[in-house]
Amino acid sequence: MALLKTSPNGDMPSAPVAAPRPAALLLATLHAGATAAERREAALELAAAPDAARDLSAALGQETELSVREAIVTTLVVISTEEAASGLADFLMSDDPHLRNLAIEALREIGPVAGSQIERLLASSYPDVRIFAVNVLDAFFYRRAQDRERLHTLLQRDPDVNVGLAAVEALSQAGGPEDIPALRAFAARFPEHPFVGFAVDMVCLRVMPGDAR
Amino acid sequence: MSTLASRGEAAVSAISEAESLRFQDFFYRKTGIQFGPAKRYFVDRRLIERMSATGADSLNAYLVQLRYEDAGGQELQHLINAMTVNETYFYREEYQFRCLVNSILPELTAMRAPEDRRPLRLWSLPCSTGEEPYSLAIQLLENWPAVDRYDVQIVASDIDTSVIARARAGLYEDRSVQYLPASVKARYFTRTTDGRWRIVDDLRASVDFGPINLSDPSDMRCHKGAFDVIFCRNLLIYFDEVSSRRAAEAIFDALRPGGFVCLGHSESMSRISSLFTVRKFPDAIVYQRPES
Repeated sequence: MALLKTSPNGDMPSAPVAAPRPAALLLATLHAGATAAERREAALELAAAPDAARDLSAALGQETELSVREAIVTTLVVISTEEAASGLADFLMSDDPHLRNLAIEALREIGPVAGSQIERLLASSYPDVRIFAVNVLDAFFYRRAQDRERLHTLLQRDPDVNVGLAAVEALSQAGGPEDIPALRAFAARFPEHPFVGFAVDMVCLRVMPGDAR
Repeated sequence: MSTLASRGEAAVSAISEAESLRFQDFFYRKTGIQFGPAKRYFVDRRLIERMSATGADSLNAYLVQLRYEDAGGQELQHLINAMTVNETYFYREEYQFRCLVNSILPELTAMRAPEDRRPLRLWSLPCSTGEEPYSLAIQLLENWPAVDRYDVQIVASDIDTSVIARARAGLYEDRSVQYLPASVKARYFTRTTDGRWRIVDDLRASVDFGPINLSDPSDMRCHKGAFDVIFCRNLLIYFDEVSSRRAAEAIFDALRPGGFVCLGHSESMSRISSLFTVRKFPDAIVYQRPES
């Protein structure tokens, strides 16, 4: 057989338990580590240092190695504070699509803690940023009334039809009868776009209680 | 609609015919499995069990959970497990073993420099009671023509030390070996006096068992860059989103550059992390750590 035999004691190797490294040292390695593996390791170890969220976000903006970016984002999701969400939210305005997508996915995982950041993003003058914010909100709006209300406000006021349609898409999956007035208000604001009325009709039909259809 | 309320569980309404059809449509779209009217009782009973277990008080609430609160697919897997008969056995999801010997190992060995004499290292994680790592060993010996040209080390780990002890013992009931050809059973097992199947000593000595917690960085530290292929099937589905992310990072670090990870049929690394490259081979879809 070419299969190697196990060692006599059959035990797998084990590493000695290492003392946690100070956050300052980890951050220095994250910013200036010679190899991606070193920077990844430092980023993942910083999960034990929630105060490092701001520095992690700064490092994310500088980092070009995808595997290190991924490690930083994982740590920000683990930390999951307002500060972590704030740092990630800034990347929704990035020109780098990889960073943007990482940030959207991470904010979806962070969930309602990211709510106040969503409010900020929905106020952006850029429709794309508002659409990304809806893509994040899509993951958790049904858990809290205030997040659902954010979608309603957007449907009633946002000047860009595509931002509203992103909200319609979100409500098509987990909406309820309470969303119908906001959906109808959105359709009424864009009568020149027949697709809007069609999409809203479809969603209203879907979210209506069974006995009201 | 009547309401079923059991001890300590959320009240769950009985499933109407329309709801049952809606659920079956959802399940079909997720899995390709169709039940039909004859299975209505079977489906509804298991659906109500899952709704109770998750605290969903209506089918709509349960479907919302599946769509929005189950990014890692944990509940979907519980549902699939409830709707199908699942058990651990030799050659389970055999198409991935075929992929290993027909595609993954040939690619890994082709990439190697001639002077690279390091053993190929395969990791079964979690290994449960040993059916998977022993299946790996048997598949290599039976179906990989190059097996004699390379040293191969098979490591098998689980967080549960009791299953590791059973795996080391290598004793199995008929049910576990039911999909093995008779010739394979004859070569790699002996019958015990109580009718069970014992892995032959040579094969048992070829798998290195040990406990590990994938979620513990100190456990994983000594395995960095240590493996060419990791079989990590039906584990991530039990993790929440954050734990899945951290596990994906740990698996990435445990692989050598260019190494592969095989997940269970209902699992997708793409839903968890963008660290890996999706590889579509004729027998299976697997995930690869990029070379650089």
